[in-house]
Amino acid sequence: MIKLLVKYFILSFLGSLAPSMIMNIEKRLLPWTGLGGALGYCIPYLLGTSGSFSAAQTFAGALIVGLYSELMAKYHETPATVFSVPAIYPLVPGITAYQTVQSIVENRIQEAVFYGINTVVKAFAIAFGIMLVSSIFRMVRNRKKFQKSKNLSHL
Amino acid sequence: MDQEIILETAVRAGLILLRFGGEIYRVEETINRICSSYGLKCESFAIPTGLIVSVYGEKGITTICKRIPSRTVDLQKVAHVNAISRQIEKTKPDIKEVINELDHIEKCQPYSQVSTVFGYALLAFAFSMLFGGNRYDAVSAFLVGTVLGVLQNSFPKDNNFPLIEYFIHSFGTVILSYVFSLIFHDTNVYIIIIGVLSNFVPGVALINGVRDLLNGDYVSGLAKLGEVFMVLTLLSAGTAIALSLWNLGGLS
Repeated sequence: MIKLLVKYFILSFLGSLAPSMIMNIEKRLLPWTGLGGALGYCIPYLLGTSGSFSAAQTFAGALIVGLYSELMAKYHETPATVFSVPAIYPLVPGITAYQTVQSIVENRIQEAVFYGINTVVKAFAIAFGIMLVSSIFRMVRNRKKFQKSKNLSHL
Repeated sequence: MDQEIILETAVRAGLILLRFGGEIYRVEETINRICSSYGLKCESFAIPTGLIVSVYGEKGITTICKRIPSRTVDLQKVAHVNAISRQIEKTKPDIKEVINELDHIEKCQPYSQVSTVFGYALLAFAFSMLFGGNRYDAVSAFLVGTVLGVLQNSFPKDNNFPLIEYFIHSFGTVILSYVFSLIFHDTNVYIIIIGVLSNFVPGVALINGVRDLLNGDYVSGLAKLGEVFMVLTLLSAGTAIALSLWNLGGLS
């Protein structure tokens, strides 16, 4: 179990470090982007029972990625997308997307619908997870800004 | 200070953000921030394919309209422009310094082509292992990823029809993966294919689209999600056609 977890940790670390190399993210941030992907993959992995990810696990991963990237964006003073984009790569439902295409090619339409809906649900889980976290962060930030301008108007 | 120079500088900063993968609200905010730091009233309107900015100053109204021919992803440039716009708000440096820094940002090339190709190969390697492949899968994914990285770098950067690249990539990936599965006998073709194709997940478009929608920029958000949809459609079309052709040949 622990051996498998270490293996997945290293692989998901590499799997979000490599896209950051493709997207020209600064070299000093590379370990942090890798760590985001590793956390976003390994914590939901611990929550589940089977090897492949369910939609709920994907959603949990997206929440963790969103939280991590907003906090890191604050700490390093860069846009949050620098951390969230590479970190969602390990969560992307590649296998189900491929199975959809393969079932279409082999004319098994019922299976194609099954896998297709599975893929769409997981993709929306990623999008909604990121959306939820960053909207909460933005709400807090706007409230702070609003209070600041209120204080200034009193002076 | 000259109104036109300030406007041009602000628009240049905004264009860098738009071209290299910044969100729409960041583009508009940066332009407004630069203009208002130098004492100009400003309205800006950005969509993923273009940008219109007007400033109201002593010389009356000046407007610039810019169309964006092609977009790529380079998040380092986005981060740098973001840092500069924050610095302008705090210290208000001379406009020439800002122009120099923007020149510097446009030129900077942090990764060589070799390391970008290595990035493609590494990603393919990591994902094929992550999806449960054995070492033969991982090695062939690494090799196919290298070929695809070289192919991606050889495409012209200002392509008029960039989406066709995805079709070519997925088609090439499937054919190459089947060829490698003939060379190494102990492989699962689908794991190699998924590992390599993970390179072309439109992550920036997805995240930026969601963040734009969240911010109320419905036009840009839906446009970017449309881009995601198009990319995924072309990737699956390439995969499907290549799979059918290979099955027709009866080689699998």
